[in-house]
Amino acid sequence: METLAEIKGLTKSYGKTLAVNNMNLIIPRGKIIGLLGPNGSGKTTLIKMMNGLLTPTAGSISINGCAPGITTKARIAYLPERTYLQDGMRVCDIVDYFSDFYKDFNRNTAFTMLQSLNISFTARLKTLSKGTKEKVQLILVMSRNADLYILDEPIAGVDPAARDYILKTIISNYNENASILLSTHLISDIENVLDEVIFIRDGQVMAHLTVDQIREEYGRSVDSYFREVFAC
Amino acid sequence: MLGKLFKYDWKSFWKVPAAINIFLLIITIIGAISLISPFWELDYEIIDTLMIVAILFYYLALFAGSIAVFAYIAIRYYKNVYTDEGYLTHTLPVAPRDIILSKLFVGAIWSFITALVMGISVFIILSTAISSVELWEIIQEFKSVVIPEFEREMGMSIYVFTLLVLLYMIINTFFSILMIYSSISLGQMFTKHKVAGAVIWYIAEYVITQFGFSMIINIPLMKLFSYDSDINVSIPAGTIGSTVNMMLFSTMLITVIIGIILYFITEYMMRKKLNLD
Repeated sequence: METLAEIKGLTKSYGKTLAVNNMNLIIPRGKIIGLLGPNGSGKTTLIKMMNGLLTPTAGSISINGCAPGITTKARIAYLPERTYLQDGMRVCDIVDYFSDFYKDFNRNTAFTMLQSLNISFTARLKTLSKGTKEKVQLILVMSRNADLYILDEPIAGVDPAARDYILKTIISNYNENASILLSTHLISDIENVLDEVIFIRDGQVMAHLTVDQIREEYGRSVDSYFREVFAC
Repeated sequence: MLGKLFKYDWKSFWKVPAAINIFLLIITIIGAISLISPFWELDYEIIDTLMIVAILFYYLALFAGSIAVFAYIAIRYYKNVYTDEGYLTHTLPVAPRDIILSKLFVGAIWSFITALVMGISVFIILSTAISSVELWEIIQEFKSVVIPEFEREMGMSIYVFTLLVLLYMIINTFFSILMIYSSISLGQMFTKHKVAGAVIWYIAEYVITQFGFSMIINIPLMKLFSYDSDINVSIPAGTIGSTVNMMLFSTMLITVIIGIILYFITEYMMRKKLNLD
């Protein structure tokens, strides 16, 4: 299996607190991978370090053989768990923005998806609801032909109908060389699209399994396995 | 990529400073119209007081305008680089250098525009307040007496000197913006209260640089004043000019050097110490 990203001895500390603790992880190509763990387990910290938004305290990250930087940013499509778009911009301005900066961005895909979800091209972001803004961001990210899609809580704020559409989009929009790393609490909703799952607790990888392994070896769904592993 | 960043930074920036400058021009027009009204000719004691209040208000408006543009430069940088918007800014495939330079140029251009508008405003108010005959006399006096005397003392033409002062103003604008950017970036070292941290860094940078510049200016000035204390010794011709020149050039040089250091601090913090909450 070809490696897309490799994380070695990655650590991030805030004073005495270790958000990510000596983590080792390999992300293969061509997989949809769930990044699962309870609140405060270090999922978002890991994701932010992979995107160059946080500086690791120790360890290394390699994506396509490069440390986070201009080269990796050109190949990663990242959806953060917050709204990063300027409120004064129109939807079509943001499409232009992405199209200007990312060579792998496909305008037609973006406009088709916006149309399917009935989002006006000319609407200003400040007039859109929080859920619609999240949809716009997800559409922008999924309209790229990236190597790695990193989606931090992509479906938390959207309604179930849009959730189905988005999941369908996620599965159909990526190529076989790309991988999707998807962090979420809503395991049952995404379980069917996942190939692999990474369980994180206290900043460390507890398990990295394929979904088939969980089903065959443990005889249960990812959701119930998660509940058992992380039982309070 | 610098060009693209500049385009979007400009788009997201221009409205507020443009509004501030339009406000300054409106104040100027109101001031100029009121100056030519016969109201000020009335023979009441209160008129003088009202004039002082009006001048004070005008001065405050200019001051507030320039501060507002500067504050907006700081706010846009902070928001676009270190808050939620930073999640997009820092995941674009662009170098930190381009992010800083793009915002530096947008901020500097609007600072120049604001300075220009303020200059035009003062010129309009002055030329309205002074009658055209008086203004003509003042200009003639400058041409025939002040400027030749000035050129003799300075050892350079008035045009070269004006260009040098303009160059200094341009350098100083970039320097002031870099002071804002570097202090905001250094404020990120604080785990909490990052804005307060930025303010503390700004004050520290301001005090240190002002102290440095006052040394450059005061030491040669003190030498000049020492001539003054002995009435038997007159100041040799050209001494004032060469002292002013030296102060201008050394201030410019040191501003450039510190400005470059502040730029590298800003870039280093963005490249190596970025920690978005």
